[in-house]
Amino acid sequence: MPQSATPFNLQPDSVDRPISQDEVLHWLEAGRLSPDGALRHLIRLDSRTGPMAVGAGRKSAQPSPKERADAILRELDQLVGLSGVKLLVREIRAFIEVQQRRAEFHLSQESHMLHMVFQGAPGTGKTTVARLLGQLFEALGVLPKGHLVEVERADLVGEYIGHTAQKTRDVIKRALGGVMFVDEAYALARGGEKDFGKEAIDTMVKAMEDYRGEFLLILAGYPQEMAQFLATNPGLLSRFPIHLEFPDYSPPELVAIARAMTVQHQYHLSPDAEASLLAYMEEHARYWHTNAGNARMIRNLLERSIRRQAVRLADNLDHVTRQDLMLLTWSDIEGGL
Amino acid sequence: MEALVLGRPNAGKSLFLVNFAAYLGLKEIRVEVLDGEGRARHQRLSIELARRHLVSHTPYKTTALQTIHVDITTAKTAHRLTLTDTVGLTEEISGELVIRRAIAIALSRISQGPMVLHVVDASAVGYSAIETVSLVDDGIARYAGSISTYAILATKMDKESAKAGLERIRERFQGYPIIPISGITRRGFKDVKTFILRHWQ
Repeated sequence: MPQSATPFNLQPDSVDRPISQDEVLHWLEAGRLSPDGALRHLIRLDSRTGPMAVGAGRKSAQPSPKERADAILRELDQLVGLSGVKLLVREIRAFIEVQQRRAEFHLSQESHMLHMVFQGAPGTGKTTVARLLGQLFEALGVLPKGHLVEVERADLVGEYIGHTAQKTRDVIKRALGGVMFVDEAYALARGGEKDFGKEAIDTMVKAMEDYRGEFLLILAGYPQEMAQFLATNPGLLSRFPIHLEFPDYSPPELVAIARAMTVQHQYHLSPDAEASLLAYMEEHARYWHTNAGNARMIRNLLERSIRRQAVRLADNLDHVTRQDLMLLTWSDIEGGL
Repeated sequence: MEALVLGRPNAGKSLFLVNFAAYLGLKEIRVEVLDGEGRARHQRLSIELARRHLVSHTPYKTTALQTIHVDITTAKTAHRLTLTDTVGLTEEISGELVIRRAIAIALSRISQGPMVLHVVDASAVGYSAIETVSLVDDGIARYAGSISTYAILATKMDKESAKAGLERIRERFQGYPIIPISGITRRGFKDVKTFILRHWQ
């Protein structure tokens, strides 16, 4: 079953795209495309409206930077919860645009110190937001590339003296023009004074000065550990003016995430599955949070449910309807809990 | 000339067709129903009967292309207009092949460039957030709006929430012609007629 082997991704990848208008209609009829998706592909493929169109349509084919920034913020808005993060990202965008306008009027600008600390448990959306921020900064012209380089302690810290600085510098070079995202950053301070982690921190601090404005550094990790980490490295605290908190998802938010993930993969939850899932998570709220992995836990749970659904249907494959193939019931989910 | 009527399920596409025919003075409607296999059926219905047969409160009453011919008579000439009703378009993938096939047929028609009348239920937009409901409407506006003569018909204007809905539609679809209409108060049918005649090809 190919579906059960596909991991749920928070970022949708559209690898498969129809290549002609006829194909769009065939896919639509076969149930591979929703009507709105079909319309988007028709627009793309129509010589009068697609990207190759010459001056056709009301909107120009190449979206302006502002439109791109708007689109990225819309994508951010579609993430469940995270209201504090959404607000702050809007503030950052407004700040950047105002600074750029001030420059046009030859007014002095606040220097762009936008390095950030993301505090939150695993699976609360830190990486997803970091990726979107990279794209946003690229659209706003702050960063030339906006790509995300995601690293952790093992990618930065070497095995012998001098190795760490080299390794960290290599990572920073890869991240130039984009975002360097250090997950579980507090682990760099784990080993005490003699640990090479300290060297990695020093190298990053130096790079923040050397490559000022050329990359965005994001340190991420559990809230408590990060607070402790920053408290013991006062030089760091002052260099990261922006702190974003990623709270644990509430049970209704987790259910909303489950719903979004299933829809994305052309499954859907039966109403009783949704209700029972919510009840279950409210009952086990503490277990489901911090250590269980929040959204990532939901993703794993759904993958297990899809496999269980496959087992449930496999005996009777000749008689299943399209609806049956899409439906995840509470019994599918319960077994995976 | 041909005009294609598009919109979400239960936006009021079929009802608009019947009401518009009644407004133009038709006593009887000749409906040509083209099903998914491409077979045509002809039905002759009085306005009353058409309202009962073609329109329903449950979505997906229309699963085939339904075409009616109406004459718009002006001082000089009679204009023959072919109005084609289509299945409702959703963001979801329908479980039924009949509906998916009908949607494919409806969308394939757009590229042939008939006039497109895009029906949006203003009252529904008024009481729900448009951001969440209008991916399909966005698609229709962007596609049909750039390749054919195109207008948005904001329907059910007699309902309470429709005024707020119309505001939102105007905001969202800036730059496109928007005609508020109501089958009950008969508001806007004259504007639709004027619009069609002005863009006659």
